[in-house]
Amino acid sequence: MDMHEIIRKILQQFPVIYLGAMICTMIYCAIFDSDSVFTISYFAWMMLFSLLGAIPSLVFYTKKELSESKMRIRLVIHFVIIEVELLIMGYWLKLYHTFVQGCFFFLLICGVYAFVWVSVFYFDTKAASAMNQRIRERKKESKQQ
Amino acid sequence: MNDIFYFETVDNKGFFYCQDQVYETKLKLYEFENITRGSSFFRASKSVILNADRIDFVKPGISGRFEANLENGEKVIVSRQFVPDLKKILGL
Repeated sequence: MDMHEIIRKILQQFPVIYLGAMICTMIYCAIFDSDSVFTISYFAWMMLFSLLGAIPSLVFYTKKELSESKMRIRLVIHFVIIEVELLIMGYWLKLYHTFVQGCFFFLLICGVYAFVWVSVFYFDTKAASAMNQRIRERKKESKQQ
Repeated sequence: MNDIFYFETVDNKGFFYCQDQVYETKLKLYEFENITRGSSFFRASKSVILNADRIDFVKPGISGRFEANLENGEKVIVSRQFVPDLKKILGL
């Protein structure tokens, strides 16, 4: 993946991560603090969080094409960086206070991460299905000729 | 030309991959890309130019890339940034 593609990926992931983070905030507050009141600055902090969640995509920058196994290793590294980064930021911003809340925050980050990858995989599956349909049609057309 | 399944560069050397044979060539990646411009060949990754007519099916990978399964059973990775080129060839 070259740098242009990385930057494009970061800009694409950012709104998806932000949406996932907003949904997780809603769930978190519904369980732990349903009377929560948020100021405008919270939404700005969430945007920063989402951007911080997208920037580790730089892990995938490479001059050479990676094999599937090497790519999976980078995926694990990416996930760990995001977890550590957001757990530290969350603690610093006092988004959680106890160990249990910290664990739930960890799980929420996992949830957002899974949401992003599942949605990417879902749309990729649809794209692959459309391409395969067209590949089959082209092969039929070439046989008829 | 359609006998070529894909062209790949490895350690600054070019190779044509056909059904069962592999041939070394002095052509560079960009040279082969220029020769095949407008045909069913497209850039699939940094080092591979793939013949779309030789793809059996594609499937998404966990890493966010696509895997093209070819008619001879080989599998070639298609980077996400080059999927639009494949879609264009397929008329999507």
